[in-house]
Amino acid sequence: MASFSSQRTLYEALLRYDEAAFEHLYRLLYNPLTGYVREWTGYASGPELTHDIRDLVQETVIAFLFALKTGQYQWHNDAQLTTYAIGIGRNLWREQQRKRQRLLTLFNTPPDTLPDTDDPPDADEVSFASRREAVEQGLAQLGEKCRRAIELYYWQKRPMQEIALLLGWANEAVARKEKSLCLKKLRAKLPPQL
Amino acid sequence: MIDPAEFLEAIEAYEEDRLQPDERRQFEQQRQTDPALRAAHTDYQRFRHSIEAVNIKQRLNAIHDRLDTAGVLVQPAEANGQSQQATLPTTRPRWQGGGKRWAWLAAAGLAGLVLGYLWYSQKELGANTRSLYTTFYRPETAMRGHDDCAITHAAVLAQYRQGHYQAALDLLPRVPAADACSFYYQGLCLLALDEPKKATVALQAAKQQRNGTLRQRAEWYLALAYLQANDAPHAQHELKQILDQSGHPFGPVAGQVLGQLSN
Repeated sequence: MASFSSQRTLYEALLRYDEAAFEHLYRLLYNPLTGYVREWTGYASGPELTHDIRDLVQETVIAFLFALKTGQYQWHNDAQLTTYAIGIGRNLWREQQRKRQRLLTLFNTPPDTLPDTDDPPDADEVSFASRREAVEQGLAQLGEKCRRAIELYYWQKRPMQEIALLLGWANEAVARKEKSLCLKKLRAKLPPQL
Repeated sequence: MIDPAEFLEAIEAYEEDRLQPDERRQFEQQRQTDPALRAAHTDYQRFRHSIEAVNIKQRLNAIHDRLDTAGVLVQPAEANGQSQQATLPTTRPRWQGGGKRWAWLAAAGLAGLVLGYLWYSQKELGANTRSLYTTFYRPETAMRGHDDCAITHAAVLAQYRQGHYQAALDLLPRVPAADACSFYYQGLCLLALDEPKKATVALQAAKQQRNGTLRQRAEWYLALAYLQANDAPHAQHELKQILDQSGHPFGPVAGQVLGQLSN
């Protein structure tokens, strides 16, 4: 296991989507979030809970990376990345439970007695998973070349010149243009609210 | 001034630090004053992150499996006892607290046996799990005692009954509330469309509500979704839950599947 001597090195490695940093963060988050969920559920156990915890930790990492990338979380010298990420995880869990509870209420309450004062869910936090799933479906519907271009560029971070070579596009400029068209095609496949 | 048709390219260049200093300043100034550029930028950030997140999720799943296999991740049932375990003195005389030590060893042994059994079961069952799904899966035909779904989801039901699962799925967002019926039929359609992972999410949501008939059906189809996904442990868990409820309409068939899984 790689060690990160400071919060700063971990922060920088996470921004690079470094594999060792992902694993390090995963280890740091797993136990505290497991404890939190167990406390919340009255120390329940079972495969469903294990599955829920796995999902929660992964969604927390994904949401945390978004906060880092977009500057919602800004680096400062006293930064405690794990504390912040655990906060995200707890919010995600509470939000998820609130939605489940709301669903139960909706189902079990006659429509005219439902309260209309419920706060809307925080779209930024709750829709990461749905956006990702929609993108996954959209990618599957793209042509082979478009899908490869997007994977090579956004997943593997390959330079445009190399992508042009791999996909048989004349040069870097053509590849960039083609890739942008692919991106627009993918965007068009997603529901507008996502 | 950046033309709206060029927003995507400009935003991507800005995000990837490919703009010259003066272009960068211009972008930032326009972003402050132009709500359309601001909205496009926010949309791009979310969209790009969603693309990257597909890959991140795959990597995190691989990390989880690796750590889990290495025994690094604490299981839910252990999470709160861990700090106490860690503070036990290591120099305690053998006779002192021996009962606890033996109890702990016995529990560890038992846990090892259970884990070993689960591992063995999973390995052995993996091959025939999917075939069990093929044997036992039948599209839902009628749901007596739960007229609410029939009333609110008539169009969805009509498509589903005719085997037009994608069309039924496409109709679901038009149903007013994201209620248990919607989750239930979403799960059934996804199951029929061979999308077991998504089906489990929808059926779990449907399973949360109190109406007996719908919940019981959701439990059965959830077990089938796990079988379809080749996920024997979760399928077994669901089937056992069905068997634990006396009078569950799917109890007998759940018993048959469980018996075949165990063999």
